[in-house]
Amino acid sequence: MVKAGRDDRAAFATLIHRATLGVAHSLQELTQPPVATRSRA
Amino acid sequence: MSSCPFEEHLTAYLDQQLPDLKRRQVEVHLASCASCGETEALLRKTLVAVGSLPVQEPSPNLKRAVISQLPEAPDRVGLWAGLRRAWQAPAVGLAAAAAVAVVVTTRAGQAGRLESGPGAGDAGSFLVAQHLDVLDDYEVLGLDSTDDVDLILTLHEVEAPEVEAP
Repeated sequence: MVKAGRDDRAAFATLIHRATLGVAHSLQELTQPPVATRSRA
Repeated sequence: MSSCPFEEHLTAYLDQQLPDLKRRQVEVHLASCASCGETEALLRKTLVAVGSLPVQEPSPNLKRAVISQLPEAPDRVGLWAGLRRAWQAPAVGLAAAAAVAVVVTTRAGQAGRLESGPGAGDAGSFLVAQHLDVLDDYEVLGLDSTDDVDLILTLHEVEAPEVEAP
């Protein structure tokens, strides 16, 4: 069995964090209310 | 992306995967870093939202679809490779040979009947699909009857005899 070293675990944790952060930002964009635009008179 | 070195630990912090020392360092840092505080709140909200979603079960074909896209591994153990290896142990080899002989005999006996009619290939494919959970670990090209499945099911029960030291 191949055991993960400390570097591997850190790299994996970083990968998970970036993926989660990506989901968080996408979710934020999807759920935030649309920006009101001023119509030209 | 934040340039704060603590930011990349926030997901592990929320998942309670950090060692005690690092966890305490993150807690202290969160009290003074507004950027990490915002990110932590965003991640926490996301994890709650994702956690409330229903669990999606992968389709039965997903594993096969993923494996089919992987390059062939050099040490992949298929049915024939396993049998060749087993052949080197006398008792196992005998049992394996008997199993292969029965499979070949069964196929030979049914070949004319199945291949002469329409949909012969479909019947074999259907059997493979029906017993995919059993056959997944073997390289099986086709089955002609449920007897073949029974044989494959018992292959793993064949064990090599213990050899006594002289």
